[in-house]
Amino acid sequence: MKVALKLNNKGSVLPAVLIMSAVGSALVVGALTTAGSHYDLSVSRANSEAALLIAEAALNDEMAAIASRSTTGTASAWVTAPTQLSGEPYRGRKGSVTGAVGDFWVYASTTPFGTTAWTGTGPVYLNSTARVGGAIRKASLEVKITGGGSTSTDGCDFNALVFNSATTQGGHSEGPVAVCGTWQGPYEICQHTTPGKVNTIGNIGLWMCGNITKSGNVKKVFNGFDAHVSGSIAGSLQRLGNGQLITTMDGSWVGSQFSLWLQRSEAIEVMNDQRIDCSDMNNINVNVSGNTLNGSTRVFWVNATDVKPLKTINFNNMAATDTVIVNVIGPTVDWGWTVNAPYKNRICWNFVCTDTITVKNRAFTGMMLAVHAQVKQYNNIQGNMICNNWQNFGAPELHFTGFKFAGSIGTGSGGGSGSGASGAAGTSVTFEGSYNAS
Amino acid sequence: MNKLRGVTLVELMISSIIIVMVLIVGANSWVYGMKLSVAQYKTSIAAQICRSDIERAKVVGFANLPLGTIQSGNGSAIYNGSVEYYDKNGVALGNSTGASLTLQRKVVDSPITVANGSYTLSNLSTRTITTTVKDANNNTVILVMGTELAKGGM
Repeated sequence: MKVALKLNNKGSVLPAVLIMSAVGSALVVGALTTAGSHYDLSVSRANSEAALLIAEAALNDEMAAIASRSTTGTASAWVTAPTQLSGEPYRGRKGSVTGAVGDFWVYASTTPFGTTAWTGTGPVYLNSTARVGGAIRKASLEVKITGGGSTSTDGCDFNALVFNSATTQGGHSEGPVAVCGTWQGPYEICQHTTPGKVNTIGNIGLWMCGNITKSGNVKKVFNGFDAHVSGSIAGSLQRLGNGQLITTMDGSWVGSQFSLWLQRSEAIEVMNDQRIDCSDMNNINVNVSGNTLNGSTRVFWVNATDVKPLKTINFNNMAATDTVIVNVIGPTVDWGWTVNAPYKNRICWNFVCTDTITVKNRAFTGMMLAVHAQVKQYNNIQGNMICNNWQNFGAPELHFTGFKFAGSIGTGSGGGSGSGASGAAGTSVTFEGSYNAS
Repeated sequence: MNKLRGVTLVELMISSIIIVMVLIVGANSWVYGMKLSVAQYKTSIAAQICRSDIERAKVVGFANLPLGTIQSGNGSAIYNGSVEYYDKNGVALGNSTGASLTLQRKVVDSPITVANGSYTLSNLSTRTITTTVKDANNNTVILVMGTELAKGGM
């Protein structure tokens, strides 16, 4: 009996080992399964992110394709029809982003993700589906297609782009002027440079979608350039060189410019920027090439109070392809700086949150982007002036020759709505309205 | 009785072999599991910094991304950004010391209009952005994401 007990005890080793091995194996398999699941989840998540980027790329790709196709044919043929080709899982044209894994399918319709083809008029939505691995994402965007052969501008042709009213005591502008409210007071317009353009309309000296008020005042438009005025005209509006007076006009253009420049101003404001060192006000030197945060767009910022003292700022090491942008932060600006730079026509001062700008003690040099601001001008402004209200005192000038903005300002991006820059040639397709992604 | 003792010896030997086999398989599985976990973590971080870089490029926008080098045939231009370094948690580093991941952005512009050795973009152009994240230790590609920008687009 004792022997039998011993044998039974020794004989339990193998079953015990087998049980322990089974339990250990189960734990290992469980751990591996969990790790594998987490890995698969990460890959799926990454694929999903990549698919959304490709879906958005498809919308931009279709916009460029529309611009390309628009040189011929009718508008309805410029967009990709909502047809599902044989062998394809989704409607539309198949494409891909070179260098990235995945495919997209994109088409246009009259409603978001709809199946009715666009006829060339009314709202048009671009719809895309992207697939990366097993991840599928969709995006839809309402766009605006402006007529083919457009020569529309983005307002940079105008020496002054005023979204509300203007009051002037005298003076002149070298370039064309656009005002979208009443304008009171004498002024001489477009003395030197080439005329402005609005969409397909050229030879513009004055573009006014409001009234010219106050009897006795004289305004002159030089060089045979036309005056477009949709409102009433009090006083005298002279056109030297046989320019025409045209009273039928697209009154919405300036409003669309307000939206465009507001979007640009806000997009610039959130770009990565460097503070201009004003610790030594007698030695304000900016090393332009040293700011590499946004490629050749060199973005800086400065407090509004810093630009008040009568000082000089030097933009050094600025290349011909650079665009210098300075965000000026503060509600009130009393301008006091002289600007030294090799390319003054590639500098933009962005006053995104400024209510009042006074240019009195020193001339202002560079583009003044101040969509919300009232500008009180006592001294010359050398460059584009984009503002809400404009008052001048005495006879200061708006200089444009050599100062017309030649830099590059984008529209930013991201979700939400807004409109983008118009193209220089061919049909322009712009991000117009709603954007949806799923 | 002697015969019964022999069975116990065989039993012990078999048990030992099973234990050794289980330990070997378990150890390998553990290593594999750890590699999966590390790969999962790196993929997750890579996806984050990759997406973040492309969103940064989108904020800079079509008009402001740096221009590239014109390719033969003048049909396109390519800009290769500098290599950026990140630690294992996705925190940007100033240099390669301690880097776990590297990131590089590439922008391909097409079509382009070439004049005087430089080029301009039109509303027919697209700017294709691809961002590649690699393992800094062995230079293997972990993830590539890409998108396209158009003038006036999103």
